[in-house]
Amino acid sequence: MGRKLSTSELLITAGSAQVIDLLCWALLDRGDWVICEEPTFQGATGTMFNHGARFLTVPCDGEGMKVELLPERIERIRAAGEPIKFIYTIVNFHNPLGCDLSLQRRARLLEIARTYGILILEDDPYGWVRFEGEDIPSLFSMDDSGLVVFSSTFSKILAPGTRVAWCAGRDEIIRKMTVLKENVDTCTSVLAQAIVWEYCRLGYLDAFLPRIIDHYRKKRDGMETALKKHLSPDRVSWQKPGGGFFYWLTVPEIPAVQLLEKALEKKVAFVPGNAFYPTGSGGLNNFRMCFTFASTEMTDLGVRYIGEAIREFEQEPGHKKS
Amino acid sequence: MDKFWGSNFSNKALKVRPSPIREMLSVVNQPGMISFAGGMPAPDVFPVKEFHEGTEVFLRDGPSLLQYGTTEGFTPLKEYLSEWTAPRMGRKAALDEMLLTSGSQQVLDLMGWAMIDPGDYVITEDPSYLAALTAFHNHGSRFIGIPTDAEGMVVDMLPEKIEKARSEGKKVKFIYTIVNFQNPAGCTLSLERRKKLVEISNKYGVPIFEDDPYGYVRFDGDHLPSIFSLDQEGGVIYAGSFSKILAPGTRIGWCTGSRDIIRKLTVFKQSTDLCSSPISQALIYEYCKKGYLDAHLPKIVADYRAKRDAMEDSFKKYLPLDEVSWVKPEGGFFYWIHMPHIDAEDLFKKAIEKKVAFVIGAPFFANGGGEHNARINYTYSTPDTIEEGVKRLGEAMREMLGKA
Ligand SMILES: Cc1ncc(COP(=O)(O)O)c(C=O)c1O
Ligand SMILES: Cc1ncc(COP(=O)(O)O)c(C=O)c1O
Repeated sequence: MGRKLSTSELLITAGSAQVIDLLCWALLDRGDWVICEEPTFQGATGTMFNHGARFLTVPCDGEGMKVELLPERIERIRAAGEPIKFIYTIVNFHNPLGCDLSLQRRARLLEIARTYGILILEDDPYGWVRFEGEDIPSLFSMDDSGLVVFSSTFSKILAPGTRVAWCAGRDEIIRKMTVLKENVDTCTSVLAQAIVWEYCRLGYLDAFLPRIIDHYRKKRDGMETALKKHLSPDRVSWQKPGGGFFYWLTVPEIPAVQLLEKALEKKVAFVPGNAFYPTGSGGLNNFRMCFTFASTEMTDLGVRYIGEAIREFEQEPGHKKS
Repeated sequence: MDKFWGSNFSNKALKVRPSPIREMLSVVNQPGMISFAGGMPAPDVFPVKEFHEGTEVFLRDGPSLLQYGTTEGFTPLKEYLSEWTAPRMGRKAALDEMLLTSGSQQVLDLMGWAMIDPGDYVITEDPSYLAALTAFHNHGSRFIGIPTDAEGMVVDMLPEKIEKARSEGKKVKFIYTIVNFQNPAGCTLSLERRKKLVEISNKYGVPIFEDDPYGYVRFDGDHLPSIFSLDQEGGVIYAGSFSKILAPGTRIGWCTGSRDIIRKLTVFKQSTDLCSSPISQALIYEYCKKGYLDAHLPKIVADYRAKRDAMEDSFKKYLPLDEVSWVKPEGGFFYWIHMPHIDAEDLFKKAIEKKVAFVIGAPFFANGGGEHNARINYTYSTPDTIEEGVKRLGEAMREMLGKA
């Protein structure tokens, strides 16, 4: 955060899912625009959609959102006189892409947001789960004009069953979200909050996090090894994630939805890429694999089956060979 | 910083106001203040020891409790509730007719999501639960208020109101009623009116939202059948809560209704908080499973009954009886008093000087009214402080009436 926050800049929520809901309550009227990465976390865009959002999507590459595309797109919507309320971005170990928003792009994104008076929701559940390299400063810490709401959660660094998360932002917005929360669920389970607090107070959060990271790093390595072993690099491509939970794979020419059907027959599951496209177009040749849940042995087996499924697919009549 | 936040707030955010009750808390927390304002259970009736016994569940089922839970709710607790609520519901509800929620407050929000489009109408009692009105209002609802008397909502007025609204092209989405020991009015909908209400709902095809956090806290008389149990057509959604029968810090409530509505509420819950804390749900289940819910509830009821009696006695002793009227509540948390010649807001100011607090009546009315009413909570104080507080309140009233 770059500094210690005051309590009036913080709100504890029922998961960071609720941060998204409350921010939508505070900012969105039906038909307002939200800017987001494409692909992005479908839970977030689903909530925004319920609140009547329209989506201005920005494609990503290995360095995250292509922020240079923003000004022109923003101006096009502004020209039509329609309000753009906030930018939703998953800065670290993106869900589903696994990539980070680079430092340079963070600085540029803030500049653009400031120029156009657009707010930012920096959703960062995975930032604490870094396997290698240096942490990149948060947008919140790089901004001195108060336009960023930072959101994180105990879901990935302790346990999702706590349903305890938090967000940080200027008093004005935190106060609004607090009042709106009263009507949504009054407050977050005091039991869960107290149990999380005891865990933190006793020093376990700091003590255990390195172990969690280590554990997930091994699993990531296990998946990397399995991918290299079972998939042929001219059929499938991916970028090794430096943290977080996910691999994003590209399978040119193979429709991921049909590949999933084949994989399910072999009892392996993944999420086809189109699920992460709020505008419903794209990701047809992509899929997301979570590496934190399965054991290394199961991961190896699962990836092997996916490799088989891909080969079977290519051998089917009607599949055009490149 | 209006450039970023103020100018970007939604219309809802611009209009939303902090609950006057929560706002009052700063006043209420002054030293020496006796508060009849909140709606909180007494801290000394919480079954802390019994509840704590359940924590062994962490050692047994830790990994699954710490995982994301299902949106629908923790199955063992649902099974327990289906059984436990059967007498009131008239039958055992199937698991897919129930949803566990983050307090029954969340049922109010979810009903807004599932039922209300901006400009739609909800029929409520006048007065009604403030946070329900706000929750619906945030979803764009407008209100048709039906007066209440000692027997609850005056349901005979409904047909005309519904027909009139429809003739004006208004969409009436549901009837919201707090059937037992209403918040704030303390009244209970009589059996006859319950039957009538179901008839009207069926006839007009307007569903009923039966909110019942207080029903199990009955001091005298017999339990009345729920509206849910009187309806045969699946037009009632019932909401219950552990807040008043166990502890509000658990933040667990539930609702029961036909599969159609439960499925819709579940989908919306997915995008508001994914699931309610599995930790809270599992701890509650342990508590219930060991029989403590049934064993402890009579103690809560006895404690609150004694306090209700202390308040009734103190009212008779200290209030200007020709200037104040009330109906003795048969359960629940609140007295609702009427003072035809006293402005409640002025009384509030005077009462605060004398270090006693309550909630003024006006905020509980969706479309105005209640200037001469006050809501007085008795569960949070001890019988002694109740007597002292009512004495101060009586003094404040007399001063206002010039009879000091
Ligand atoms: C990007 C992102 N935001 C938010 C969440 C929701 O997390 P929580 O469990 O805190 O509600 C997730 C969970 O997967 C996520 O990937
Ligand atoms: C009528 C009514 N409904 C719902 C609630 C919300 O209860 P909870 O969210 O704690 O279950 C209350 C709490 O005071 C209430 O009075």
